[in-house]
Amino acid sequence: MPKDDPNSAVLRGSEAAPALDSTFHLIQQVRRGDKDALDRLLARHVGPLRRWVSGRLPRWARDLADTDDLVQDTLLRTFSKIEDFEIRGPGALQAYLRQAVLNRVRDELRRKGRAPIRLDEDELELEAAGSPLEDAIGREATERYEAALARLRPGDREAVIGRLEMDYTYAELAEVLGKPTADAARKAARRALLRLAKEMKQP
Amino acid sequence: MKPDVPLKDVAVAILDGKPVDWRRLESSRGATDQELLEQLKTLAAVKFVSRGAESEGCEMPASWGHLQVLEPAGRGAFGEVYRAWDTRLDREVALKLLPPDSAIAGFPASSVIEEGRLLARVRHRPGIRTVRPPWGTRRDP
Repeated sequence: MPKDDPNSAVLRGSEAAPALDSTFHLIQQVRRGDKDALDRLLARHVGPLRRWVSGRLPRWARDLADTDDLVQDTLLRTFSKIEDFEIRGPGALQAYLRQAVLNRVRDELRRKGRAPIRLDEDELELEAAGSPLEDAIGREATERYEAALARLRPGDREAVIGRLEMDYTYAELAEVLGKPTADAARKAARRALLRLAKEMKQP
Repeated sequence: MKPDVPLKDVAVAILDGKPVDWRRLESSRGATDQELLEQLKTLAAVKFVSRGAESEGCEMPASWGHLQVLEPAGRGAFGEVYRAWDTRLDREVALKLLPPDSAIAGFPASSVIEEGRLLARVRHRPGIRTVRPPWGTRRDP
């Protein structure tokens, strides 16, 4: 069978569903006390959220808030209380999880901010730079990127953030976006990225 | 005439964190696409940041060419900066190492400027007198 033939019905059939349980299905299993389902949920989402936070927070804030622990803890809390009906639409759960993590980091920084923090001057200067994202592309481009993302449809926005900032595999992205196959997720991300680039050209 | 690369292929390369030949693209595309390419470069840099975050804390090399690496001094979006001892000049220098497969050429000028700022901050730290080359990648000591 020609493996690369996109018209092959057999190939399409074998790709018809990503080999991932839906996150909502796993959440329901977690509520029934399924430890294995919890491990799978965390394995799927902790890494991408950590990558996203790492790109978005200045290093000093990441160190202060111990974001690795916060991401895991936030997910544990969220998965135990989230209701299916709260989240609708492609990528809505992703956006919800990011917001939950961000809120948690903010709370933690606010809490830690009350304690005196001493850094010697050199350290302070070295670590006062912005987020890695802002360091890489500059403040103006970061703002342009953010503004253009906000103008995209939610599904496009999540496709871009999911692949670009969170580094989901296409199979994971398919699950996040509600696409039938990894290939469909790849095409959706590709289209969304080009739309974003065009949107970033707008003044 | 150089063969054109479809923009959808460029988009997939960016999404997958693969290197993109920006110079070739710029020379093969018309004036109307240049601004779009600039935005795509920015998006390639965003992808690079998430990859960098993943590889953060990767092993510090013991040496790089004739430099003995002493300790990490800071981290920019495009690589690590280390304090190092130059065995030829017999003095301390700052060593910047880029990730091995960085298609850094063509990234927005702002990123290079920001890296320079980080190096400048290191330069002013006590005991570090120069940030002249070496400036290289992990691949070619």
